[in-house]
Formats: sequence, structure tokens, C-alpha cells
Amino acid sequence: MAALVLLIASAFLLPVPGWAQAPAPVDTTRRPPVVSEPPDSSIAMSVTLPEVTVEGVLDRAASIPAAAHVTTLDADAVAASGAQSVADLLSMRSGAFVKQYGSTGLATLSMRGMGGTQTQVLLDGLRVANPQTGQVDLSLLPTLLIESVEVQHGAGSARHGSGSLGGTVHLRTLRPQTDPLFRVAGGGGAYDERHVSALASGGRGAWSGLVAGRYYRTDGDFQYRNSFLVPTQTLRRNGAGARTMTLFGRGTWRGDAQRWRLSGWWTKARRGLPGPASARSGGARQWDELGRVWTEGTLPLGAGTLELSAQGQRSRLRYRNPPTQTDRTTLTTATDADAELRYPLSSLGSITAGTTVGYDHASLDGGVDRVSGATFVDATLSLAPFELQPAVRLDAIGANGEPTVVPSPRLGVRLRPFDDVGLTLRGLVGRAFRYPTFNERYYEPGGTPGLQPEDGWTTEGGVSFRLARPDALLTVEATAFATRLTDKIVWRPSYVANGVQVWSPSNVSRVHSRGLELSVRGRRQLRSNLSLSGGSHFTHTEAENRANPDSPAYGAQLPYVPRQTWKLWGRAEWRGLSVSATGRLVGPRFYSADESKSLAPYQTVDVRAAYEWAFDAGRLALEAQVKNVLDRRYEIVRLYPMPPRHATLRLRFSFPSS
Amino acid sequence: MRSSSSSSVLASLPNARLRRPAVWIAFLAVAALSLTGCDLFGSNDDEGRRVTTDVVIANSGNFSAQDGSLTLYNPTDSTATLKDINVAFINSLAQHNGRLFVVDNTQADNAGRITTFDTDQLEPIDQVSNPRPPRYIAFPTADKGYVSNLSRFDENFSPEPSTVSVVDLDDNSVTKRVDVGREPRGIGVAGGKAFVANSADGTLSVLDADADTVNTTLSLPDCASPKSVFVDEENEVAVVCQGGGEQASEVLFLSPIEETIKDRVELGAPIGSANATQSAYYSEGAEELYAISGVETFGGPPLGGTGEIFRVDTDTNVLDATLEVPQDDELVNLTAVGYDAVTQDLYVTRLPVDDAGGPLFSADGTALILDRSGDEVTRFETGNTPGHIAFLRDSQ
Repeated sequence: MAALVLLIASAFLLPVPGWAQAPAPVDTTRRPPVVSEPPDSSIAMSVTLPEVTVEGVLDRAASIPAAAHVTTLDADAVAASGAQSVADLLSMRSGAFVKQYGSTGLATLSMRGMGGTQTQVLLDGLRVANPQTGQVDLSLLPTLLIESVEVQHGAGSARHGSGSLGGTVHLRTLRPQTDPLFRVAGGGGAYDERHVSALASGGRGAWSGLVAGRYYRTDGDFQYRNSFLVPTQTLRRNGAGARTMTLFGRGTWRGDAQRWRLSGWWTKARRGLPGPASARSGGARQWDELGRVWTEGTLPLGAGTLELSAQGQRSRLRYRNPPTQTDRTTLTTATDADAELRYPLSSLGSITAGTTVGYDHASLDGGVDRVSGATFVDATLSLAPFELQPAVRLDAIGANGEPTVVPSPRLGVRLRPFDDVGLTLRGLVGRAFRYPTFNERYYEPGGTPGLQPEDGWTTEGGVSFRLARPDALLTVEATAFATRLTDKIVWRPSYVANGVQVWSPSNVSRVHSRGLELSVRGRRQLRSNLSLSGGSHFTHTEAENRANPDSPAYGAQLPYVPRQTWKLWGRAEWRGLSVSATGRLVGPRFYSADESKSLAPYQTVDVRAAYEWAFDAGRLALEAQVKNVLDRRYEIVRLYPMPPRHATLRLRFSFPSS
Repeated sequence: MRSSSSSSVLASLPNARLRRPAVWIAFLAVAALSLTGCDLFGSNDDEGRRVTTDVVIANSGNFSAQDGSLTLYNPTDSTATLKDINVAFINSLAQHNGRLFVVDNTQADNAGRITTFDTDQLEPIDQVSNPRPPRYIAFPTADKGYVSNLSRFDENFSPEPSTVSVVDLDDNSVTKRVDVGREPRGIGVAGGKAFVANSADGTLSVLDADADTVNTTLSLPDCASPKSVFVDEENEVAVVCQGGGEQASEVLFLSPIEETIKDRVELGAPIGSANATQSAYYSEGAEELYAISGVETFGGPPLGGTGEIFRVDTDTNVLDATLEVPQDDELVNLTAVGYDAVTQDLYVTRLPVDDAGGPLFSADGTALILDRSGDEVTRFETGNTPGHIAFLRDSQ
């Protein structure tokens, strides 16, 4: 692995005529100035200034401590990935493990041994998880809405409260611009896949707006082998189709010192749930509908900046399964209001303080509610050569008259030992927690109203190295982490009648998780109009059950947490042509508690080629993508096969051309 | 019937004076014994001429993972082997016509399958697709099977009336479904009839094995949760009432002809398997019935078990022994029981403990081999959640 990292690094650095030069973190392209003598002697000479390309570093979300390990995907990276959903994007370009039930099934994130309910997802700083299930189906989040993504690894409750045990995903949605922009795209591919999307943005003066929409459908009826049948048969995946529609709108008002945004997002999905491939599809279906409105404002307050935000989100989930005669609909509502004041502390740094209130409701058990409130203080203190980032948040969550108060402290340290070398050392220790979901408390049958929050502490240390030259940029990071989780909620069976088991959750488990996260990213401008970029994420995670020494699960790797994941991607751009490849290698995943049974490791490679024509009316791009080029038969979750090799084509038109 | 006195008669003959009364009495005794079929040179037990080639343990697997498997234990060399057979959640096993039938629940489609395997290599031969999750299979004729189907449950967990599938074993198809009571479980075949235990009703549905129809529904007074049904060597139908609430567990012995209860044997603790699979076993060779009180944790009243094994002599219809399974900090509950009359070994399977000391359904289990006193002889590892025990035998 170390050799491969060095190989990648050398591709972006050698030859190195300017190695001894001081890094230029902003300018990435420079040509020497041209000096000539004009024919008109009234001007002694003219100088043609050198061409400079500025590659800015995406501003980290203010809530992310500088000491944390973060993977950043800016707008170019999102577009270059070719991913249609946030699940695909994170699966390809982050160190997180995306656990997905087939190609159209539920997709959740696992980071540092924690599961989907223990990883927070924020949309423009506001939580998006369904309070009933505690998780987000990332396959229903289209990248159409997304401008950038930051994946923050590790404990994040000091700023984000409940759910940030394994990490926090910060999604930023598109920002409208006053210059007119129009974009339309459509395409299709295997298994009757069709998609069409459109985006329009524009404005005048202080006002700008953006609307976008997308429709996607697929039958998902790929072939797979069913070895549970006698004799074994090759069948088509039946009942796995999906239809999704998304609409997004945003309006922005930008004053001299203020900025206000109002945004709305609606998505509706209908998909088949074919169930495990060992059985024929029973015709189960699920309908997801989500509507969300949120507003954000930024205004000066003295020497500081006040940020206000509020959101209301309503979701409806219907599950129907004819064989079991089940037809169930649940409605949930989540509302939040936040206020944050960021204040500079002269040369010492800055301090941010804030408060948030929230209200959640679910139609379970005749209707259940939850009120929450929190206050936090987060500071960045520059004590050269160190930077300290202490923070503490106090959450109070009340459900049916039973308030729970949880403090979440955090301390981060960052050290840049050398001024002229992009070397950074960082360390962080923090507490995180997860409040039980509505399902865990009130689901009928089996919910446990008296459940307590899960509680965890994370310690991590890391080193990052960044080298920037006029024609190249390289970033290498390594992070070691350790997490201890107590009161972990697990579902356990009990008999309610002869032969009838009901599963109920209880706070009985403990987890120790530790590991290593390595990443390298780079970009090299070889010649005019020819550039290379790429990167790699490698993660090793030992996430062990540490609840009961008498149990065979003690010391065993948690189910569906791979010990190793490795992602590798590369991209070449020449004039209007771009070619990219993404590889994923995921190690064995145990599906038993005692490591006695596992799913085989799998490797997938996706390739993508696109050509873009620029002309006066706009830009036209044709893109072809082949997924699973190696045609591997694999499952992320047992008995939920993923599609074999298949292709899609996409045509995109955007206006204007620049 | 065993005869333990025949050898002493033989030994005394060469030294006996030929006194007429004694000789005639001895001659008549030998003749009577011969006519009744007793083997003068040993046990009448057919098992003594057969060997157990494999103890087959069906591992139900984790329900959501649908990973049922078999563990094969060779009692000769004490080796256990796990065999992955690509079935879903195994409910039970049965043997018929030299084949092993694996009854499994495929979950997603609320249905199931019965897959047949040869008993040499345990390779799959045929498969029946059943429209409901199947529980047990019995064979009223050589080419027909009856399969009890899981009931649907309402929102209060009350089961609804269910059916028995009639399976044509020649073309592996379900030809008919017969309406029976709620929660049908074990099936016993005797006298041209099939007796289906309706666990939630406390009744037996009596099917005409030729017409595939229900002739009568027998009420079993004071029998809570009848589940396992066997036919003993006296051709009596033995029904294990698992007990619950105010009613104790017991074994009922019925006449299949008269359809009346002849004997009742009280057991003393609620009967059950922690996996809701095999909670009783009948050994034809030993003429003994074993029942386990297996749900010793997390069941709670009225389902709470004691970890005991009850042995009933079906020849005399009495409770012969109550055995206590040895305590173990790493094991909990009982999930299946079987008795090998050839080796006189009692097999019982247990589950490992989970995070809080309850049963863990997603890890390998353990099979204990006990002697007739209930003392552990040895143990071996099974697959995930062992749920049913059967014996493959061969004639020497």
C-alpha cells in the first residue's frame, strides 16, 4: 500500500524542476510574463501579465474543526465523478462504506464501525435524517442538488448533537447566480434506465434564483443465479424497479452586509422491494415522499456574524407487502431553528456560540413527539505554533415528559511545525451520542420507551501533507482513531406467545472501534489542455463487540463492517475529452455475530468517458459510463445481488458556454 | 418388548432333571416367548443390528440471513462437519424412502420450500415450492406428503386458521390445501389417518389419508399448545402438550381407531424449543419419548422453561426420568433433542449467549451428548441456531 501511495504521488510530482520553490497554495498555473516593444513610442513598453489560474481551497464548513479528518468534494469533483446519487458519490469518492440493499434499495453510510443511524447527514447545516428511522436513504438524494460535500470522520456531537458518532456528512446545495445558466440532461441505459434533469438559474441585482428537477426510472431486472433452487436457475431480478422525482428551488437576496436564502426540496420515490434473492419477489413496495423548506440568513452583528436558519421537513413512508397482508403508512415531521454568532477574538482566533431548538413528530403509536434544545460554544484559539479547538454542546431532549440532558465536549489540536512546508499534525478527542429513534422507542410491536442514548468517545491523531506547485497539487493524509461506544442499542428477541417472537431494542451492547484512514489526492497539469487527477482512500477498521465475555460475539468484528476498504480513481482531461476510472475493493463482511460466516470480498471498476463541445450557443457533452466493467457478481448485503456489467449514456446541454 | 430372563432359562436346561412339570413349564415358556417374537439370544431391538452413520443437525440459521445448513456428526470418530446446503430458514427435517426432507421458510414471499437430499452425499435431488411457510412434513403414503403451514397473525398476535398442503412426491407439487385449525404443527400418521396438532386451538384435526379431507376435529381437554405428534410402537398416537398458563405440560396417548385419549403423562415444566422448532423426539428403538423445557430465558411466564429433559417410556406410558442439562455460562436455552438408541446417546442443542446473557441467534450453537443420567459425555460445535436432530442409519 505504501508503495502504491508513493507511485501515485510520483505521477503528480516528477519531474520536479521547481521542487525547491516555496509552495504557492493559490496559483496553480503560471506562465512567464511576455514583454515586447510596441510600435507606438508614446508607450515605452507593454507587459502582458502572466496567465494565472486560481484554485481555491473550498471553505470548510464552519462547524467542522480544523483538527478533524475531512474528505472534501467540491463542485468539480462531484461533476467529474459522474455519480447520480449521493450514495454513488460517497461510495466512489470517500473512505466511507456505503451499505446498500441492491441497486435500488436502501443505502446508508457506515464510518469507523458505526452504522447508518450513527452517522449524521446535514443539508446546508440542518439535519435531514428521518426522526422515525434515524437514517437517510442516500440513494434518494440526487447529486443534481449538490454543490459540494464534506465528509467529516469521527465524533461530531459537539456541534451537531445526536447521531454524529461515526461521522458527519455535510451536503451543500446549489447556489444560484445572477448570470443566467440553463442546463438540461437526459439519458438511459441498461435495465430500462431513463433519466432527465433540468436546471435554470439567474437573477438581477441583489436577487437570484435557481430551480432544478430530475426524473429517474429503472426496472432493475438484471440477471442473477439463484442457487437456492433445485436445480440452480438464472433468473431476472423481479420487482426491483424504481421511479424517483425531485424538485428543488432556491431564492437568494444579497444585500450589502446581509444574505438571505429560502429553499425548498420535494422528492418522491416509488420502488419495489424484491427481498432476498433466495426467494421469489412477493411484490412488496415502498413509497417515500419528502418535502422540506428551509431558510438561512447571514447578517453582521457588531464585529461578528450572526447566522440564522430554520427548516421544516415532512416525510411520508408507505410500505406494502401483499404476502404478509401488510400496508402501513407513517408520517414524520421534523423542525429546527438555529442561531449562531461567530465572533473574532482579535489575533487569538474566534469563538462561535449558538443555540438550536427542534420538534419532531411521528404517527407511531397514536402519535409521538420529541422536543429538543441545545446550546454550544466552539472556539478556535491560535497559540502559535498550536491551534486549539475546544467546544462543548449541551443537548436536552424530551420525549413524552422524560428529558435527557447530554453534554458533548471536544478538544482539537492542530500544529503546523514548519511555515514553509505544508505539514500539519492534528489530534482530537470528543464525546458523541445518539438519542434513540422513534422506532426504537415506540414501534409496535417491540419498541422500548425507556431506552437511553448511546454514548461514545473518540480519540484520533493524524498527519497531513500538502504540496502545491504551479502545475501540481498533492495532498496526503493519515489518521489513526479509536472509539469506545457504550449503551449501544441492539434488537433482541422475546416470546410473546407460543412460537411468536417479537424483537425489542435495549441498551446492552458495547463496541471498541479502532483503525487507520489513509488518503492521497492529486492533480497535475502536464501540458496545455492536458491534466491528470486522481486519488485513493484506504480504510482499516477493527470494530469489535465488547459487551459480554461469555458470548462468541465478544471480540468479533461487527456484522457488515468490512475491515478494509480501498478506493482508487483517476481521470485524464485533454481538450474536451475526459476519461476516468474508479475502482473499489471491499474486504469480507461478516453476517454472523461470531465471524463464522462472511460475504466474499469484491472488486468493481467503473469507467466513464465524456466529450464536450463548446460553441457559441452553449456546451454540449456526451457521456458514456460502464459500471462493473469486470462483470463481478457480488453482494454488499447478503442475498441482495448488485447488477453485473452495464452501460448508460447521457447527453447534457448547458448555456452559456463559459 | 425386551426379554431379560431368557438366557437364565437356557443356562439351567443342561443341568435340570427331566422332571416333567419343570420341563413342560420351561418348554411352554420358550414356545410362548418365540411366538411373541422375542429374541432369545439378545434384545429384540432392531437398532442393535443397525449403525448410526451420521447425526444430522439442522441449523435453522439467522432468519434474515436465510442461511440454513446441516451439521453432520459421526459418532464413530466424533467428528463434526458443517455442510452448506443453500436453503433458507430450516424449520424441521424428516426422512422418507431413503431421502432427507429439509423444510424451510423463505420469508420474503411468505412461502417456503421442501428440498429433498440423498442420504449418502446429502446432495439436493428435488424441491417442492410451498405456498406458505411450512412447519413439518409427514408421509401418509409412499408418494404423498402432508405439510403443516404457518398461520397468519393478526395485529394482536392471534393466529388465524391455517392449512395443510398435500404434496405429490412424484412431481413435487402441492395438489391441494386442506383447512385445519390455528397454528398446525406436528403430524402423526396411523390407521389410515393423519393427526394434525393445532397448537393454538388445543385440538387435533384428523385427516382421511386417502381422501385428503378432515374427518373430525378432536378436542384435547386440558392440553395447552399441542405441538409434537408421534406414533409409538404400540400404534398409539402420542401428542405432546407443551403447557402454559394454568395447564401443565403432558403427553397424551390416543387410540387412532377410537380417537380417544387412553393415557396422560404429566411432565412438570413447560415444553418448548427456544428456536420454536424441535421440542420433542420419539425413539422407536428405545420406545422412549423425550421432551425439552427449553425456553429457560426470555420466554417469561407462561412460557418460561427450566432447562430440563423429560423421558417418557412409551411402552408403559410413564414418566421415566427428568434430566437436568448441566449449567454453562456460555450456553443458554435448548433448541432440539434427539436420542440415538443404537449408541444410547442423548443429543441436545443449545444457543450461545448474547450481549445480555440471552440467546444469540446469529452465531454457531453447541450440541451436547449426554448419557442416560444426563451427564455430559462430550460436545461439538454446530452451525448457526441448531433446530432439529435426526439420525441417518445403515444396516451392518
